[in-house]
Amino acid sequence: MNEHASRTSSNRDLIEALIQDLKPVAPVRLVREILRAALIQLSVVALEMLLTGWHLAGSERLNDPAFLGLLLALLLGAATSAVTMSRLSIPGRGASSAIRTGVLVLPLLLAGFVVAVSPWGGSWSGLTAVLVEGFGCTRSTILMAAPAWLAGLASLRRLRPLDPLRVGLFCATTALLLAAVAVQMSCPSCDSWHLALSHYVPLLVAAWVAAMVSPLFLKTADVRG
Amino acid sequence: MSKGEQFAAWMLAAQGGDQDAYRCLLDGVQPLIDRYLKRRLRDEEAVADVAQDILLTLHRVRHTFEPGRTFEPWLYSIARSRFIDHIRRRRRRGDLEVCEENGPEAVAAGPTAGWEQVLELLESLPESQREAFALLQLEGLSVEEASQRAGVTVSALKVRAHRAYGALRRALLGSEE
Repeated sequence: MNEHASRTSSNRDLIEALIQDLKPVAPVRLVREILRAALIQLSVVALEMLLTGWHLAGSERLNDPAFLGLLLALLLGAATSAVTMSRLSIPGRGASSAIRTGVLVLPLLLAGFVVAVSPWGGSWSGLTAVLVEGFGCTRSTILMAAPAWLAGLASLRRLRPLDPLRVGLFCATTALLLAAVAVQMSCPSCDSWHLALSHYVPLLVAAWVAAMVSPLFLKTADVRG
Repeated sequence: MSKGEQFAAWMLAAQGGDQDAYRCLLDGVQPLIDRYLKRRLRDEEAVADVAQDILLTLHRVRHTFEPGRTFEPWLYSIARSRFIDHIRRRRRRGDLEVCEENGPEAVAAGPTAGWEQVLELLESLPESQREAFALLQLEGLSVEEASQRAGVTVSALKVRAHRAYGALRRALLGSEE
């Protein structure tokens, strides 16, 4: 009985403290949040392209439906991932598991597609050789995505997401997919194995690594009244 | 006006800084939160702890309630998230309890065993970690209460406790070998 009374009184105290701590806040709007986060990440990638002297390799490839299709798939994936990360940041919104899974496995699907269909041919020189030769592209993608990922997290931080790991995962995926578009357009190689193992598969690994550390950037101290 | 619409209206007023509306809202949602938790947790104390955690989170993320949306999915999404966090915390604590239960048997061959050894090891921990461990495991406080008592944030207390558990686990397992 005493325990119950003490709990009731401590709830009462907490509610009073929260009421005293109440300050006006501007309610979020989902569309605005999606646009804000996506535009910030897009701007960071664009700025990096500008600063690093990015150039388009083989402009004639933009007339190739397969090449254009891959770029569009990456862009569509980035857009869907941006919507997902913003929705996941707002309680009661969320995203369907089909969409979440689709976005996350997109790099693997693209890798599978280029290896299976091999639109521009591919030469297999062994896993190590492919990875070593393609290391530059992998590194460029990750280096280009990292600032965009951090900028995205900074933008989402104000929403105080309840599931920072998942939000971080999709934030990183958005940044990596955007960076992958930029790197693929500047990479002169269209070798299937190179695209699969140096452009697409690393996206998945990097996204999960980034997700693991995202909570460090997204978690905020609990508020006590 | 339905109950949900009333909650939404109070929340919108609270977002504008209306303390009376906020009081009505918090008083109104408390029974919903209790009912939600009592269906999932048997321990009355745990219900009270998680309910407070939910109220704190509701306060912290009140800006994420969007005008025109229904209130209940937003509230229950917060409740679910805090409930899952609670289960994870319990599971982590459970790991430690398993270690303690297995302790006497596991260290039977050694010269020292059980709580005496744990207390000795506790002495070797940094003050902040020892305090976190003592508040949570010896005094049995909730993370919220312990963080208040220690004068640090909940996250900081969790980190300290986690480090203490890790150090003790390593020391205990090391001493068994």
